[in-house]
Amino acid sequence: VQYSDIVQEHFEHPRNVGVIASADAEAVVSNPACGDVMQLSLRIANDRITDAKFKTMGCPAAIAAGSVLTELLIGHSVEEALKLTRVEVNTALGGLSPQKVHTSVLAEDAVRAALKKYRQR
Amino acid sequence: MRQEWERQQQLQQRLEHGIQEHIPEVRLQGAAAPRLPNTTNVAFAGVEGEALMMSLDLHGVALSTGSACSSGSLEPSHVLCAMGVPAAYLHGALRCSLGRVTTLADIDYVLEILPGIVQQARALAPSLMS
Repeated sequence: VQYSDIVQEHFEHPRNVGVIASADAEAVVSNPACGDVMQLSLRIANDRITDAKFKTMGCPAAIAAGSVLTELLIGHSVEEALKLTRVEVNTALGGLSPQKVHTSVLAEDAVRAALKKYRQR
Repeated sequence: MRQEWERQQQLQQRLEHGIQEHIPEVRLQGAAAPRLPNTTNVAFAGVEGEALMMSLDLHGVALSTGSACSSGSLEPSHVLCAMGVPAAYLHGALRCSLGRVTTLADIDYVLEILPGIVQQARALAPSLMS
């Protein structure tokens, strides 16, 4: 598997690793086929994401996807975050190979699931 | 030939004992079965093999993984499934191959770095889980 420099860099130095205590929104999503599990937790104030943390059990691309996802979310409104898709995650990672695109899907699933629960509160 | 077999078998035992001694929650596949001295398949619970492989690669150690994400298929190894390997270990397998050029120092180097690499990968994983 070939990875972009961006994926490698996020794998070696993942950003915002962890879990936000009593987060305003959180979700754990998984891909049963490959075993990847991603946990996302968000701090939200006035409908704006002020902090995001992730944890991933998975391949280097899945770790990089969680890391880059937190960077894409912090500072943005809930409205904007709901529009984030796998395409932006993939682009932010410098392009994933076809067999790794599912890790960007997992990142999209994580933010959708977390914000769905947030909206339903 | 026999001499080389025995040399690699000693390295394999040192590797396997070292892994078992220093890393919790590991499985050596087919440890009790008659098998080749140059190949060890070891699986670590709660991590993904390819992530371990990439970290080891960054430390100059080349090995492979039969696991999910490294091949075209996402599914874990059908062989490990058939052997009844528990789910927590299925994605965390590494295949370590020794050869004529492998030395005792190589094995000790792997034993020096591997526990930290596994620990780091486990720290990144969601703790299981509400």
